[in-house]
Amino acid sequence: MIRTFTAVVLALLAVIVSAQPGAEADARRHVQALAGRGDAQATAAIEIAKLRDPDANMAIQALLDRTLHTYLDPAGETLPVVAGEPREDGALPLAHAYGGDPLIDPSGVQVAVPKSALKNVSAGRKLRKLGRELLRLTGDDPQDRRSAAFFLGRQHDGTLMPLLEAALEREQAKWTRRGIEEAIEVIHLDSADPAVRIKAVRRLAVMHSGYALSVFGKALEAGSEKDADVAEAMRLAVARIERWGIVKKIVQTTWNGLSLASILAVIAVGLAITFGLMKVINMAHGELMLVGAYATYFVQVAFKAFLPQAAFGMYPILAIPVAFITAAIFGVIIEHLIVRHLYGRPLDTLLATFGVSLALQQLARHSFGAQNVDIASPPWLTGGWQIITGVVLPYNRLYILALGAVCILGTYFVLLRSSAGLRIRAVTQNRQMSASLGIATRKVDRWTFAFGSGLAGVGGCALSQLGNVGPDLGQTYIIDAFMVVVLGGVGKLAGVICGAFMIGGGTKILEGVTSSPVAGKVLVLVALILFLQKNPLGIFPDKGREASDGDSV
Amino acid sequence: MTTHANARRPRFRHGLLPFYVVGVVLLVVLPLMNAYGPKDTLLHVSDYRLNLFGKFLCYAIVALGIDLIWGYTGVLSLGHGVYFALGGYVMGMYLMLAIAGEGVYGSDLPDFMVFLGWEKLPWFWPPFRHFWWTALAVLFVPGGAAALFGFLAFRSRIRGVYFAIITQALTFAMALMFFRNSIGLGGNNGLTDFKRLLAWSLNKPSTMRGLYMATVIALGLAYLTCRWLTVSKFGRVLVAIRDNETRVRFSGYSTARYKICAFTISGMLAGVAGALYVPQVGIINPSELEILPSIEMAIWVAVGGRGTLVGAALGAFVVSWFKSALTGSTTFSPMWPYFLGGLFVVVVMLLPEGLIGLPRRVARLIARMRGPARTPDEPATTTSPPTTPDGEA
Repeated sequence: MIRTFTAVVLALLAVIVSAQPGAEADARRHVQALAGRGDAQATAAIEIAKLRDPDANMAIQALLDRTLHTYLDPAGETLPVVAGEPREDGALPLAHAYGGDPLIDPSGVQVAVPKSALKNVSAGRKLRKLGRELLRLTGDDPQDRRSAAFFLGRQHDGTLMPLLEAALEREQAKWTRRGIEEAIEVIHLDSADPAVRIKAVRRLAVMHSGYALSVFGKALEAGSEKDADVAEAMRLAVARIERWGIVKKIVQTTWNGLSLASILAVIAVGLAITFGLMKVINMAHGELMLVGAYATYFVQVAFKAFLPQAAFGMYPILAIPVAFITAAIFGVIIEHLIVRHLYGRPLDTLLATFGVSLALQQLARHSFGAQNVDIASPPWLTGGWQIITGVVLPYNRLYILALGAVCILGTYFVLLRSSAGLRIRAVTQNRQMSASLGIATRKVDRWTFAFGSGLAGVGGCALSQLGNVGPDLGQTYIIDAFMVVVLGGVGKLAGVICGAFMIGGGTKILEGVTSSPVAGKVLVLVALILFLQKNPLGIFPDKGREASDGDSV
Repeated sequence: MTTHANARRPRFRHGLLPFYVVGVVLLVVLPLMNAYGPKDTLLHVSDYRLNLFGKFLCYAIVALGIDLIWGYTGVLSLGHGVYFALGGYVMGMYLMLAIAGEGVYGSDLPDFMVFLGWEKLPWFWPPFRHFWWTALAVLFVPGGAAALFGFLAFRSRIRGVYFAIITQALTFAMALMFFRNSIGLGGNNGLTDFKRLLAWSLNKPSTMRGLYMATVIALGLAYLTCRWLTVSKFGRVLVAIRDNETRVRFSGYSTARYKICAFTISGMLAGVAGALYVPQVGIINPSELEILPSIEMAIWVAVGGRGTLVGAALGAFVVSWFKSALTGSTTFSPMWPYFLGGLFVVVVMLLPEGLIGLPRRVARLIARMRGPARTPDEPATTTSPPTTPDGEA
């Protein structure tokens, strides 16, 4: 008796202490409704979300986790509860759905009942989806909040309006604000007042909403919009958003081309250096990229296994030198065993290195399986940077772009600012003369080959962030990289960069225009062959005598 | 490296005896053994094996073509699979139309078109109802493609590694194109389910024997043509281009024209081989256009011996036989890429003259072991003279 009395007093105290007793009572009521059935559940979920009460949100989370139950307590009251992990005797400990405090029986022990004493709160797919998005709207990730707003807008549910307006008020992130505004205007479209509808249509047109485009298109086609002014506004909006689509496509294509060009540049620089120096095309270059990619994979695995979680994000940085060195070692081995013996026979070198490429590919298949290995990107490389409506630049592509720039700058530095580079350039321009002046040309060859191979490794490291590291990785870009070398010529590094931009950009532009990747590739090749009619030695031909003569190295 | 074999001017009629012997064995003896040889004895050649040989001989025709352009002219093409496949597709279209109305759907259109819901044949299909048109197209479609590409490439003096890479890119692009349904050649699956060639059923061993013999005859004709070309003045110019193109051009020859011509003939040979290959194998699909088959073709020639016609044909036969033996067994099948890769390296580094040059190489080795002091005609292995066939980049 005394115990009950104390409990009541405590409860009363709690009610008094809590700042918003009314709000809490509301929350409890909504949680009760959430544990009910039918449409009331969805309404309750929305009401709970409006409260922004973490204690109440726990109930929605429990609903998503399928742990929300109703419990008929001995007093005959139906309580919404969260069931915990089953104990040894199979009984499930219960907690209040609101707040998550343990459910205490009069003897002061947490109530635990067998599963049969509970009734699971059923939640259909729609309700679960709604619950998830409601939680995400108040979550920490702006991207999540935005997609949640987008989802809620598409429900065309007027009761969501206060929720979205409240969300907009406290939102800081620019693109999330945009997303919420868009959702609000989409809901306004269902307003009974034509003036509100017109305003919403205009606002959506300004926002270039892709979803609104399809809504307007459907409404105009079905003639469901009765008000002539609104229909007219819709027509204008459709035209405006479609115009925007062209801008979007141009930006997107430019970005895609830039991204492809940066990848090609990294790959082709290594090829071009060795080709310029030794007149050797290394067909195993793609497999050296593979080496770099697998090296990255191992660095990642090692980080996961031996270092704390916090350090994981740093692995792509460490992977760069590891990939460079591993691939360079492979390159030195290939140079020492094969290429060295075939100087002056570029076609033979091409065949021999192709043989190496076949063997390395098969080796990868044997060691790591034909399937792609799983490379997890660190958090700072997932997601993207939104520049305009509808165009997101993924961070991993930006990273590759930056890495490409660093590689090119590094190569520039090595070639033009270091004594090793001076030797490389000397041997490239005139091998015999350099040899007579005391340059160990064979040594220069070896280290240049290693450097080129290392760059291939870095290329592989970069590609690994795009997600698919498998035995065929090297083959994806290598032909395009060869094209870059052919187009750019071997005289200057600038040729490679120009070539990369022309091939990469050209492929993506033609792909966009013809909307077919195959046509894009084929047309680029045709364009290249026609270009070589005028400039057989590429954009920046080697000006030396050897270039025009059938040279003999 | 292969210049030694051609240092003396060979005559067309000189030394043809082995050709006749091999010809009779392939053309008469093997088919007889197939038809009448008592079963389960050494005298019997199974249908399967004869069919296999027919395939290898098709490859040998391709190899002759590649040798003409690479071994003799010094231009490495990594895209002969394109011409091979073009010949094959031409023949495939004829074979598809020959069974109009007998497909699974009973339509006049090939099955895959019915499947795609097409109403009529694409514009380039109907003439292939006629065999004469097909026969012409087998020569002129691959030949025309080779001539066009050769014209564009050789006129602008693309050569050496550049040429090799561009041919490879072209092959890759063609493969991508042929994989698509929209070009009307069966997409991924290609053309298959053939039943009849002219009046003969393709299921009968006798038809297969006939096809095999036709392949032998085609190979013989191809060999004689190439031999005639290479011993003629035309062939001498080709070799000169290989050894020093600049000098030949300065002597007043239009080297591009010679190269275009050789490349076109080479493409035609590949096309004929493809056309003979398709009815024997029963399918043509874009996998023939992938990068590897084309580069394997080059390695046949390298293995056999560049710059010798017999070597090229032999190389194709030996390598393909080996491949079929190796990939036929499940244990060794995964080893094939290693083996092939190793073959590329070994042939190029240790056997630049191929199998044909092997006896001479062994003899030289023995001679060197006997008298290590005098090795006057030892070819340079690390530094090549300026006149190597591949010395141009």
